[in-house]
Amino acid sequence: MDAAAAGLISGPLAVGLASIGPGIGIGMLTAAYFNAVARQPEVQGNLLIYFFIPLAMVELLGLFGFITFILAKG
Amino acid sequence: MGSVDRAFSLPDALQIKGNPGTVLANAGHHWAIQLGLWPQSLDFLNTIHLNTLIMTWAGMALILLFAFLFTRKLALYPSNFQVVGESIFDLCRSITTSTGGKKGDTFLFYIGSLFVFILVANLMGQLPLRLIPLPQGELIAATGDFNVPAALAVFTVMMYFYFGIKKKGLSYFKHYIQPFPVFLPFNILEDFTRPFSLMLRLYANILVGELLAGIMLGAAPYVAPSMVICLELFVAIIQAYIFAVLSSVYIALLSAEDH
Repeated sequence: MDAAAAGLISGPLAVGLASIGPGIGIGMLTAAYFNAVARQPEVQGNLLIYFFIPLAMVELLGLFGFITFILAKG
Repeated sequence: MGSVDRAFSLPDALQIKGNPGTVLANAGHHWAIQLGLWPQSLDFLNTIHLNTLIMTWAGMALILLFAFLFTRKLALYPSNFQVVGESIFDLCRSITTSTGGKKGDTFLFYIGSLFVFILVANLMGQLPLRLIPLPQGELIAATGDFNVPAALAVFTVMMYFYFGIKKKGLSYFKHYIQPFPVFLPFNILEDFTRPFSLMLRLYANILVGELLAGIMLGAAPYVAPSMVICLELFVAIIQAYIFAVLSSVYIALLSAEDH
């Protein structure tokens, strides 16, 4: 594989690989949130803020992959 | 591939080309002008992105206009405008009270202005302002430029230092050696990773939206970009909310009483 082909593949590969972890993480987070709300529907509003903060942190890992994509593509 | 000067050429990397000769998305390009105010050693301060400046000031003008409309005739039985203004205020206040309790009202002014500004700046990116021709670049959302989220994140750091020191005095700096003095480097590092993660999250989310709309324009015109824009309206609100919530959490955490 020559360098140009490797450069073309590396960026999309970084995005794809970096999305696996956050995908699993967001799924688990959402499942836990729905479980909690199903068990006790009245806390839904209070839980929302505790749902979004870890969501933002998990999501950041996927965005690192996107930044790698930008930097590697040039 | 691999050379540093090419790896960090953001403008080329963010140009999405359609058919030969057409450019679908141009999010990394900015209308940069050079000022001669600063010496050569501080050259990065000389560059000003005029398209970001225009969007920021237009956003601020919109906020001022709506703030005037919302508060023009305050009444016990509110008008429609007043109801909208009050619900935005209630949302901001729910963020600060859920993180800071009763003390949340002391930093409500900061969180509220942060939320409203980011929300307006994000949503303005979805207006068809790209059709306005500029010498360089496009009128994308102000938060799609690296510098605006960075400035807001630095403001958050300044704010939690300010509220922490105001609340605890010099004993604020004791939290660097808690729970053990071994944690000192990690706690110092945290002051840098917090604004970096705040900045990167907002910037990357908005930029992805801008680029995705361009890519979809190449895939299926009219249909696919409108779906992306609907998604982006949602993302704009979520990101403004997350930025405000995290800033509020940091301020509340570092100005909390020790137990």
